[in-house]
Amino acid sequence: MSKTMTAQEQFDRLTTLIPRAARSGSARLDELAREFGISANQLMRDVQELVTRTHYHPAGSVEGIYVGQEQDRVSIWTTGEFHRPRRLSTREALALALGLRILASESDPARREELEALARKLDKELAAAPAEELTPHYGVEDHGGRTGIIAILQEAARERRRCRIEYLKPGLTAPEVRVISPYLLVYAEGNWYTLAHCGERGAVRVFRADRICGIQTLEERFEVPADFDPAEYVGGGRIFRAERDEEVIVRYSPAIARWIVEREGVQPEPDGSVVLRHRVADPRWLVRHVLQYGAEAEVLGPPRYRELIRSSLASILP
Amino acid sequence: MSERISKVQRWLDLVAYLIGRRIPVTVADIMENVPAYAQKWCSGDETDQASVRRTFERDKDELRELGITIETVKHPINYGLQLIDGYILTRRAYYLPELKLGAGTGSGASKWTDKNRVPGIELSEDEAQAALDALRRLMELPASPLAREARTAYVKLAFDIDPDRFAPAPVLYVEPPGTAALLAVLGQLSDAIIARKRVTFRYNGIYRGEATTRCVAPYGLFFQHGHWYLVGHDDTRDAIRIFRVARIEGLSANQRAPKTPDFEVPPDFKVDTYLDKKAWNLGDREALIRAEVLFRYPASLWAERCGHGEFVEERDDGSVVRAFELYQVDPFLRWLLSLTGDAQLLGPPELVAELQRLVAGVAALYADVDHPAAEVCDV
Repeated sequence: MSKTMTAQEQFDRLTTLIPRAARSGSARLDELAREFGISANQLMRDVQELVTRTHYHPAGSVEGIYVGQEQDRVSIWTTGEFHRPRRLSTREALALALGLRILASESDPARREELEALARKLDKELAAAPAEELTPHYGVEDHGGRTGIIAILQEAARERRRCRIEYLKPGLTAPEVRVISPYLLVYAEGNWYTLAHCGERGAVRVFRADRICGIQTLEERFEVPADFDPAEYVGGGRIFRAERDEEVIVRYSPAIARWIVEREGVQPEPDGSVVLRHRVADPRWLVRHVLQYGAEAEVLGPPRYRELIRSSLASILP
Repeated sequence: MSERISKVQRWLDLVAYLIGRRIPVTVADIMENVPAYAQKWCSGDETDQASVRRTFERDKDELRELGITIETVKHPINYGLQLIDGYILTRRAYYLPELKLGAGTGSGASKWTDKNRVPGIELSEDEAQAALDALRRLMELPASPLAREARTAYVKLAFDIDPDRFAPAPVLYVEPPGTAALLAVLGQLSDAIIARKRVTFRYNGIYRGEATTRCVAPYGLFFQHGHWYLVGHDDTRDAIRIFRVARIEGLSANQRAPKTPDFEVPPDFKVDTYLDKKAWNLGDREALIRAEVLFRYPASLWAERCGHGEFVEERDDGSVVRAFELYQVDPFLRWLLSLTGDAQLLGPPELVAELQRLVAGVAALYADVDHPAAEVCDV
């Protein structure tokens, strides 16, 4: 990073830090460091830039910024300017616009229009120089569709309200109706899921959002259990159900080993193939996963998973 | 005064001196009153004075990059008989407008005529929550190249909007392995896109299986299926190409003439044009095949929900025929295979024959299996 960029970043932080700390009189250093996403040491260096100004400023000159430091707190007073944050920089405005587009991409068309209008309004009003010329250069995938199910699930999870969903499990002859308490929305491997308590199963289950074809938010509210830990359901960049999982061994041929090595960060076998041990909670996931590679991936065991692949093939051709 | 004054301190002093002044100040005023300039200016040495003037010009440029524009204006003196150059930085231009929570939406900044008053802008609760949510999301997006800016913007908005008033949406991004290593690369690419500077890197294309060196005019970045992608004009291929950022190594941006763009982006460029392309939609457009697929009910609802293919017809049993345009056959057939019977390929016949060969190839791997029909556990 260039020296100028570092100075610009520090100046940017300081012109926000001064009003932020001055408003509350004093603030804990670790709290400020967390808010700004920097180390406590970096924050101290920032504060030091203010402290050492007193060495060359005669008392009462210029804008009058006063800094006091205790062990774990900093106090800042400003009697003149720097009493508010400055306008958003173009990059900050770009970040805000892109964030709003992420929300829009998860929403139904009407809400999408509202969020796009809000993005334009905030860019125009809050930015020192608007980011509108840069926004076409940054994009996010679309998850909203016509129904905006992800946005609905997020609001239900935020407000802790149960939902009635129609869920499409692969291989079934009709959608299933479930009443769920969405604890958390999870994005993993390019898909959205909700970790939710399922009323019908009486336990936490993973629901893939693109398989929810209907949703209704109910008045009924829920509490997230104190012992609910999302870490039990995610690992290695994936989401899975922790209970009832089983180890399945899959061999990937040398022809596709590059994809697997890249994704899983593993080393190939001497013959160029890759052998992985998957923790599988939903056998249907395993079938879909293996068949997407055609004959380039093979389940080595346990035997019942080989049987499952074989039986799945029978349903593919008319 | 002999204390060493840092660049950041100099900028703070300059802004503090200028901001809020109702009357433009002359360059001599600035030189005499901003300590870092005054150190040299007041020496009376012409070389020093010229040097410090150049420093001031550079400072103005660098502050402009941060969004702080010190305006140069013609200022009348001597009862309007003489015009001199003056510098001004209004509060309106510098400060974030005051964000006021209200029920109304759509009202912009109040129309203050006094440029030295900080304007206000009314936001509804819904708008305020959306703005904070948006910035939180960008901070959490894996390897987000704008995470730092999202964080500082969040702190700025939180000056007026109490974040505790709006519970965050419970959202978790599961970071794929290797995310941390991407941060620096994405930051560099984002900088190069904004500055329009060419980048050079080695690319490990998944199909080639070997690294090739590319020189690219970077046009845009997008996030899709859990990965970041770069879109740019590949000078080596003389065409626009898409690169998965995780496969980029040894990235460097052109450091020459950092303030001068290396290239122009086509005026109609939108990165969204390159989003949501399926693997079977990439490739040679002359090799187009139109395939029809029957999605059995209820998978037909899922295909509609996800926008797979184009609707052709709905049958009495709720199944739906959808059409696909293919430039590559293999990824499409493997995708159909993974749907395990929820979708049936109807045509064209040569494609069906190709699918049959694919299924036969997979079945051969499991020729030893005698007893199919394993139990499928519940969700």
